[in-house]
Amino acid sequence: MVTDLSVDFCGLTFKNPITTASGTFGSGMEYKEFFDLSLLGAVTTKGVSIDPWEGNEVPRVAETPSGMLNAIGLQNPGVKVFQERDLPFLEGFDTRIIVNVCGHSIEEYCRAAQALSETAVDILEINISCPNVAEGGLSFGTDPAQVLRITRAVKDVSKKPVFMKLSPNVTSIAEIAKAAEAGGADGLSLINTLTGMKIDVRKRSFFLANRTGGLSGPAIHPVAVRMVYEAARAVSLPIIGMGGVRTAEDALELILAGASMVAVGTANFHDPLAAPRIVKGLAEFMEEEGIASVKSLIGAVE
Amino acid sequence: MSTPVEEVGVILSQKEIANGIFDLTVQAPEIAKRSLPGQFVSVFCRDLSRLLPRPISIADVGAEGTIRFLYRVAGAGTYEFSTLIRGDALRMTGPLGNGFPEISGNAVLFGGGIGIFPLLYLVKKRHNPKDIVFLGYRNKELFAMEEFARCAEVRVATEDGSFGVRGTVLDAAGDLKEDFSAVFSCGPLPMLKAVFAWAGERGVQAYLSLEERMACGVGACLGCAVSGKKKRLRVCKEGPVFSAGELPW
Ligand SMILES: Cc1cc2nc3c(=O)[nH]c(=O)nc-3n(C[C@H](O)[C@H](O)[C@H](O)COP(=O)(O)OP(=O)(O)OC[C@H]3O[C@@H](n4cnc5c(N)ncnc54)[C@H](O)[C@@H]3O)c2cc1C
Ligand SMILES: Cc1cc2nc3c(=O)[nH]c(=O)nc-3n(C[C@H](O)[C@H](O)[C@H](O)COP(=O)(O)O)c2cc1C
Ligand code: FES
Repeated sequence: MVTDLSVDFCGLTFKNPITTASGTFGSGMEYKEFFDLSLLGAVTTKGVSIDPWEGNEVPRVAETPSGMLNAIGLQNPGVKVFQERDLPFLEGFDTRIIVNVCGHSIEEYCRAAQALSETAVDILEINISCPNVAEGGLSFGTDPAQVLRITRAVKDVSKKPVFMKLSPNVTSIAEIAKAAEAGGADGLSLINTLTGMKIDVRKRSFFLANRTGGLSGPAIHPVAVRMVYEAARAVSLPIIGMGGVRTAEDALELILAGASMVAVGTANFHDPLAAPRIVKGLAEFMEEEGIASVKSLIGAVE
Repeated sequence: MSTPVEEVGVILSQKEIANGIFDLTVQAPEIAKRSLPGQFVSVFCRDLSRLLPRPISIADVGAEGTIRFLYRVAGAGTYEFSTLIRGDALRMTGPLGNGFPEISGNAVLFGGGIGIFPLLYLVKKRHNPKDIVFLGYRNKELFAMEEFARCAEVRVATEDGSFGVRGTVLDAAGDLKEDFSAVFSCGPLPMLKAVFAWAGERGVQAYLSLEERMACGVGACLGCAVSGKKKRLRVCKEGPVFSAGELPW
């Protein structure tokens, strides 16, 4: 049997439903040493902002049981360098390009989205877990009214499909998902990291220089499955699901919960070949189970 | 620099050479043939609750496609490694990072604690009897010292004064009279900063190997990006070895 791993949304076809989670894969340059990026349905890049960001002091990462905390602080060289250095590199592969966008204000998001709309990227993924400078550093992504505003503003200036990347640090993910849909989003990505903290008991101080960090990895997978499910029930938008995916089975859980595509993040650190191995595992699963197309599994949990 | 590879190595031997310090030899020809002194390997745990790689320096490379790690048991991951025996598998990616530059002429090397280990491969490869190696230990458990002494001149400092000079490697170096063209060092941060200053006063180029918490180990996540003089530097990619001029100290 020929199994079909391809998925389509927003008028785009992806050869398979596996991409990389933003910030865990750079722009793929480091991982192309390990495998051909054309094996992926898409590459999702590290967040880029209109101007360069310095990021936080070290330590920026800490291991936790079945996961990790990170507080990189969205260090990135800005849209201009991204456009001149990273995009031409990615265009050399037969894969789609999803660029993750960050900003400190709605204006910054819009400028970045506008500039990136003029390039070869396929999808803009808007990370709304960034601190909102105007609102005293609280994340944009936790208040439905703000999510609606930022979605609408970015949509207005973008010529590419806009996916809003949602924070899990909210009471109701369904409310936030609906706000993004009302703002005109073309799709959703979730989940971003869960805010956590680690304390060094001998030093009696915070482990990360930033004190708090985002929890990712297999530890958060069940939260991701639940939230993708709730978001998928609340809206009729395509979803890129992520959170703790390490195996093809983990990816399938998110697909059955409602994701059209799945991103592999922290697992890349545990195995640089994790993403292509998951693609292979998906194909094997479908063959074993006699499933002709992965599309038939999207949201098929009952 | 050659590209890194993923390789499942096979343990050939392991022994405890001092209290909590292990000497591990792994058959890993693909990594071995690419390795340079100062580079490191990401070693993965079997326990899936410990996802992140443990960066361990390449302490030596054998002609038969083996690599050697010398390491201290510091926590659960290195404890797991210490329980491995001959025939066990060890998943790794490497070699990673830049390594020490090749520099002719005599060198002075400073190694402190676990920072001694990456210097061993360097000293063996240089094999210059006029190189002077200062090794700093806690006490008279002088692991790997004899191997260094076969390739270069060794001087020792111990924290408790039980062997050599009491104090740090800098105390042992004092006002060195010999001429030399480069300084190589690895060890705790205060020691590296002291070596940086010591080399600076003498107008000699220093190459310092830094340690930082890592996640990807390959340059993608920016988890290990420390402040450099001009820009942030990824310890796993631009480093772990930096020339003094790159550092903002
Ligand atoms: C470039 C480089 C080369 C190194 N080479 C050697 C070597 O040759 N021999 C040796 O004994 N040790 C070396 N280390 C230190 C070694 O990586 C740590 O001791 C080891 O990761 C501890 O793991 P653990 O699970 O036992 O400890 P835990 O404290 O339980 O580890 C928890 C997490 O913190 C990380 N971590 C803990 N200590 C360090 C540290 N000092 N540096 C970076 N990450 C750390 C671990 O990788 C893990 O992700 C090196 C570190 C770096 C950065
Ligand atoms: C080191 C690191 C950096 C990240 N950087 C970004 C980022 O720049 N933008 C973003 O939207 N998400 C970022 N994330 C979140 C991931 O894209 C992903 O949503 C999250 O880690 C959950 O997936 P995982 O458990 O598979 O890693 C980052 C995560 C990690 C671990
Ligand atoms: S550990 Fe990821 S960039 Fe160095």
